[in-house]
Amino acid sequence: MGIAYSPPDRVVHADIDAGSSHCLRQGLHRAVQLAGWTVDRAVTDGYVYLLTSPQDAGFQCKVQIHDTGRSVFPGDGVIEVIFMDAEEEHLSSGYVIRYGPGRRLRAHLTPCQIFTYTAGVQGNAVMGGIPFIDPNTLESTIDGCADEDSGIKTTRAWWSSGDLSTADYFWGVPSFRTHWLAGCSATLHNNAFVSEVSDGDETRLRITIPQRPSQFQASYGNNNIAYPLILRWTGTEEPLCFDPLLAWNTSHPVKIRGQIWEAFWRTKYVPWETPLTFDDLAWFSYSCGDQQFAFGSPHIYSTGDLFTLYLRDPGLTIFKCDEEEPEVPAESNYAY
Amino acid sequence: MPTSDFSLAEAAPSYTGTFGNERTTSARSSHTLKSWRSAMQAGGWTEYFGVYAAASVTLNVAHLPVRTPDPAGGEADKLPGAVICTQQPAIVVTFPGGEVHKVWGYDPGQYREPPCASFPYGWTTEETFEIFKPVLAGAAGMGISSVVRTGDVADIRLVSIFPGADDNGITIGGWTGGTVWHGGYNLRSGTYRGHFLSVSAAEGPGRPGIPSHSAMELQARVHQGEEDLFGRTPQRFSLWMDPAQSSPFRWRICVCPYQFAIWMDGYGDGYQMPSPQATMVSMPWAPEGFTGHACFAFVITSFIANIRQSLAWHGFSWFDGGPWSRQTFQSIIVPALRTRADRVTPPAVPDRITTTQGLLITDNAYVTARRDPDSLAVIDNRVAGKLWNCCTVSDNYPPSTVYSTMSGGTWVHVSSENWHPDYAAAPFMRGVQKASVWWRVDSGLPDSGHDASGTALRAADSGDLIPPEA
Repeated sequence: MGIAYSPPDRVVHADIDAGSSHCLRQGLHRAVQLAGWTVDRAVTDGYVYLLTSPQDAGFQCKVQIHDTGRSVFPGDGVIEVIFMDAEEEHLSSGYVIRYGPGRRLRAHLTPCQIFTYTAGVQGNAVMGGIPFIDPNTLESTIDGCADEDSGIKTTRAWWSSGDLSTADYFWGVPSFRTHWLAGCSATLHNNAFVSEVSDGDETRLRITIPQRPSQFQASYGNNNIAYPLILRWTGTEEPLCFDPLLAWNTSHPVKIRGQIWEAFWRTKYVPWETPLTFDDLAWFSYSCGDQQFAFGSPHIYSTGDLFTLYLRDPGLTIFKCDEEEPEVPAESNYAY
Repeated sequence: MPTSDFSLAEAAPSYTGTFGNERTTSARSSHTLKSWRSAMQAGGWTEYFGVYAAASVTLNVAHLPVRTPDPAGGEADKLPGAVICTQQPAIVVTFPGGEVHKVWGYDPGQYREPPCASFPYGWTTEETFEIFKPVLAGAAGMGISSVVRTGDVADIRLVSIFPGADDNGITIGGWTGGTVWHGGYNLRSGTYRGHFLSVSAAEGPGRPGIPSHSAMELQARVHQGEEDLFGRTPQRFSLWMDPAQSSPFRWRICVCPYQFAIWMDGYGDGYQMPSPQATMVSMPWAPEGFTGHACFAFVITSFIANIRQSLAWHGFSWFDGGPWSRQTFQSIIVPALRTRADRVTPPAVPDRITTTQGLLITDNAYVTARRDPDSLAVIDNRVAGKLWNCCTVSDNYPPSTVYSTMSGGTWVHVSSENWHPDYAAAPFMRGVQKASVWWRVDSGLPDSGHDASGTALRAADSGDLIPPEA
């Protein structure tokens, strides 16, 4: 299919003052509404937002962004981001975003998706929403030739992940900021809900990658048989680009449920927030894997050589605290 | 640079068929090679030149008999020539169909001319040798290309008069001995990015030490322009042919103008190990305008080519003007979509990847190889092209699966990663993702476009997530 594009005026790349809980929540509140999120209701020190998929208005989920007053880090506080279905039957754990003096937060937003990060470093990575859904599953298409549940129709679906959760104080887990596996995640497909925290290998939310079909390790570098295939063209080292298919399930094997909006991934390591022109549009690298040396060889390779997720960059919109209107620079700002 | 939208690297015609080892069922012909030639031509290859069959035979000239003077009574005192025809012949030529040509030598000083095919001895061993040579060639229906003398020992090189496979398997006995081999055909591929492949196929003696077992010997060259016709070392490989009438081999072949593959339906590569049973030769697709290399080619071959039971194939690769690579196990790898993270990802049984509705995923069949011909490291693999007319499918299948329908076409099952009938019982590699390679064909199809189970694969492009077939 290629890239799942949203309405272009609903893609927001926000740079938000995170110096305080008020400023962070205010900036996010304005940014998500620019992307088309609507306020479902106010809660104490926050809001519950309703997200609607541009693919099909019947697909909705909610995101609650609020401050519980809890603090994970000395000196800094955190706000919580909780994903849930529109019926509020299934809730993710509270993924946290840190605020404190001098801090800023970036958020990439579409009408039904969010990716947050702090420029240039790991942490404060919260992501999720309603994926672009496999069109086959939008209607029931029972096929007599199929060997399994071809009649399944997707009625609701959302995913979420964060690299730090206040619910269990588990941090440093992989997320799509660093990996193709989401260590701390919650997903819903129809009535099948999974919320988990894992150190990686057994996670049930992941992005598919092409690799050797034979044995292969996610965190390679410690085992000769684990050498990955570097999928770049001979001679030019030009990487391949792939659709970011999202897969999850209640148990393994996971199933492909859809695709991340406004995104693709490619097979070359670059630092976080490296700009790229692709499809005549501006993009930036959201994920970044650590570089490693292969044993006994001069080769450098990285998780990023397998998987670097790019998000479309409509240009940074800077949200200053307590200002009437956000500041929109003339050009995208990559002064990292 | 495109995203992963599945797009077939199409090269037409794309043909599949089978051919068998029927050499010994027909006199003076090699149906195996001729069937191979026909299949290749159906897939767009053209005949380049014929390969002449040949044999080298050796004899010691000093040991050859010589004639004696005529008796005083002349012919009347000589013995009847018919006696010669009951003795051991000097030349015995046995043709593959069973026809035998015998020629006797005789001493014209002692015998009258025999009533059977014969030649007289000369006055010296050298003269006998000069008489013997054309008689030998005539009996075999071949010519003599060279005679190399090392003292009294003479090596005679017999070469077929016509190129092709017809003379393969002729055996020569009597004063000397040998077998005629290596006649066949050389076919050339279509020209792609200024290069073409030439592949010759001949019949040879097969496994060392077992001369009764013949082999289909292949040699692949890459050419850049006609002037480089013989400028590059060929890559030699073979497929073993069992000459036993009771179990003639039957190979599957898929061919398109820049690529062909051969294997035995229903079997893995190890069916007759250590005799090679499968191969693939390709000059894969590269993106338009790609500058990383001008031409990439590979030959999958080994005692176990690994092509049927894995997507990591054994063989040789070739880039531009360089040499063929070293043969290393799993050096040519087709990547496949993964969701399994690690060897410890549960469950231990390999997973296949499907969508919510159970649709399989089809994706591009990229092929990766090492440009450094001496490299043994997987980390040196890079994407070198895309297999013609092929895709990957996110499931694996037994070797008995031959055909399926998918995305409006008929596809042939080329390879599956680590298929086992029972993962609970069989030893298998953990951390394996189910994946297979399929080849879309448009001619040479059987009546049924389905595999043995009669089911059709349903597949979704990794990007398009196409609707199921009606």
